[in-house]
Amino acid sequence: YHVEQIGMERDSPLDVKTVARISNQINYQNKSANHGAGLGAYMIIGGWDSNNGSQVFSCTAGGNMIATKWTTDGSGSTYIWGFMDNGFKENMTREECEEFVTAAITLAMSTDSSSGGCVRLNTVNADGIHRKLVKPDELVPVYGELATTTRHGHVGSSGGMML
Amino acid sequence: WFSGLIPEDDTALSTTMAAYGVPPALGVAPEMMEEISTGTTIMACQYDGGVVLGADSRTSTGTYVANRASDKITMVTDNVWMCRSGSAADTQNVCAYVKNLTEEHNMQRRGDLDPGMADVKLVANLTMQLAYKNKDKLSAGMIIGGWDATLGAQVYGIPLGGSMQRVPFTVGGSGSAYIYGWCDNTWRENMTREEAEGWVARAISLAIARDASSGGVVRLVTIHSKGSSRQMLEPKHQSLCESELPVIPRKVGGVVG
Repeated sequence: YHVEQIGMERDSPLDVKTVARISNQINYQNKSANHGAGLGAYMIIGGWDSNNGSQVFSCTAGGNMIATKWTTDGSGSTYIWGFMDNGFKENMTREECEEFVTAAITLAMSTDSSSGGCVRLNTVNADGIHRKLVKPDELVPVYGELATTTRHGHVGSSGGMML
Repeated sequence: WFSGLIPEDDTALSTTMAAYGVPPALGVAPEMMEEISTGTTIMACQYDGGVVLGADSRTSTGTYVANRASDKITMVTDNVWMCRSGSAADTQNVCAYVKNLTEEHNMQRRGDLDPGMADVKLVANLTMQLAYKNKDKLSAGMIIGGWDATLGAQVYGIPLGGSMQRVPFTVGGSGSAYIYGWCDNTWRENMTREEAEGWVARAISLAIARDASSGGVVRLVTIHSKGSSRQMLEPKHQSLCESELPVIPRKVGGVVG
């Protein structure tokens, strides 16, 4: 809402930092919400603009906003800080980066009970936003995980009942 | 000797001494001082022919680092070592009990056969029994690793609660959360000794970079059929992680300006 309003006034797409700052200010100015626990809306804002290229901002607890090269958040993030510290490289290609992020999320999903399902990637560059869905059976299997079952015969037509 | 120590007037010192028996230390109120704990990172893994145990070296009391070069990998017998995490007092005492019980058991059952050695499974089971039967009193997570002629290289994880499971590798302590993903991703069966030591050292370095309760040096113990050896990797030998600041070398006898 705020982004659209300010965008209308400015007549051009907003900088990534501006969007991040709006999110950050909402968090900071409502620190007393929820009996002092704050809004609990922790976000990672990432994007591309013509002024500063690609940027990542982590808008974390308490109304903190920092520009970083990479970041992770959420309950599953604790398990992958080490993996991402080790694997992050400057100037990766788009494919390398998407693979890196997918691998990290897959590892986190395997250890964290609150994370799971599929992996959704949004790649943002000068051409816009490119959305990608990676389904569970397309993910690289993680050590110790059971293999996803492959169904034989007709999927769905008999409702799963096989003789 | 104690009677003169508690002042008669109503000061912070007298209140504290009366309530806690110790003076407020380090500018911190006693209720803020936590029991000494090895908030820590420990791990062990099997390689082709032995096991590698690794640990950081930080012992913390709340926010104060009580010991920055502690040794969390303790010898139970020549061929079986234990990594300790959790309450320092609890783990030290459990380890002492396990050493004693193992020696008694071996005196009675093994006689003069391989003195100083014990079955890894024996040590693990004894530890597990102590941990389980005292689960309401103890706060101790342990990893037993070793080599014996019966089953070869073995690693047993005994977390809080007193369960025991034999595993190819395991991590423990507060810093372990940050390396679950990395370890799952890079683990391989049957690494060589050098690969395994490098793998464990790298994992502990990554955990030290992110966990405030882990730090200091990386200690490794390698156990195989011919014996065991200890190593210490000083911080400057650990490979840096992204955005980690390098350690500034100090001039001996001079002042870093």
